[in-house]
Amino acid sequence: MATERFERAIKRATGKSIGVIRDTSLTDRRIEIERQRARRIRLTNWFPFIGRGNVLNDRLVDHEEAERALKEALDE
Amino acid sequence: MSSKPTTIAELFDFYYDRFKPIYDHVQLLNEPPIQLSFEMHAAIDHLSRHWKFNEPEDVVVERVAGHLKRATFDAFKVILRETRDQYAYLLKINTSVIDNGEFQGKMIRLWGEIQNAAREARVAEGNSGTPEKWPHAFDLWEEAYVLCVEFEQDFFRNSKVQWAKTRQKKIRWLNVLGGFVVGVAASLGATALWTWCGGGASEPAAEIRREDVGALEGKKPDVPARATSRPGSTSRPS
Repeated sequence: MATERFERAIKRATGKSIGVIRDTSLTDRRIEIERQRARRIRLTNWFPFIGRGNVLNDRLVDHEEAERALKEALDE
Repeated sequence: MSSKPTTIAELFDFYYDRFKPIYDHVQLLNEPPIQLSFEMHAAIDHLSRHWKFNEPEDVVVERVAGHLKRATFDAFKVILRETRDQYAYLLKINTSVIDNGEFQGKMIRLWGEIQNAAREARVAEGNSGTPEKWPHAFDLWEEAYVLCVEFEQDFFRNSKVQWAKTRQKKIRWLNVLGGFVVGVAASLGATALWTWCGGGASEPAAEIRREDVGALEGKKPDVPARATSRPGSTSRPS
């Protein structure tokens, strides 16, 4: 079990208790955060700060951008 | 979590106790790293092999634990870097005016503690292979994380920082305005002083004064003899 100090820090940082975080699915939590921020969560490439080898030669694209590019390619 | 996971059930205990809470914090950052997703994807793939290919549980658990460990350590590092950026931001503000310098002193000391804790955790990462040493690096990273949260909440998000920033901006503008006013005043003063001292008087003004004096005394102006003859002329000077 996590220490009390760690649990208090998580509560301070996220605004949610560790129990709520454990019980909430990742998808539901992501939707909640995006609604609060009014902004989509966008993944970025943090290599070489973390990660074991850069497998991404190009920038990251999100789902919408990928769908748009596919639609454009199919409509040509 | 007191020891390295040896069963799938313990793997999920680890996931819920250690990884998921810190990942929730990482999600709150503007742009969380995709590298964490890579590790979790790899973990799921290894886990699936227990049922898909009948791989032994202990083999699967060993591999999944490695990915979960890496993902958790990377999540802590992401928070650490966020804290470092917050510290760099605060250094640009004159926080010495807050609480008579106590705020700044405590902030710098806390950052030093965070660095020491993170260094210790980083060293322990390399020794986390054995079951007995497995939890040690996580405990050290959790300690560093607790200090990072303290830094963010008590210093970076302190309401007095905004006050100090506004004050700094006002003082900067006052200095610019004051410099302009002093410059103009100094220029005017120098010009007045120069004029009062009679400095920079032109030659025509001095000649006029002498002629005026001569006319008042009834004297004709003195004109040198040679001044009336031209070179090569035969006329005699008068």
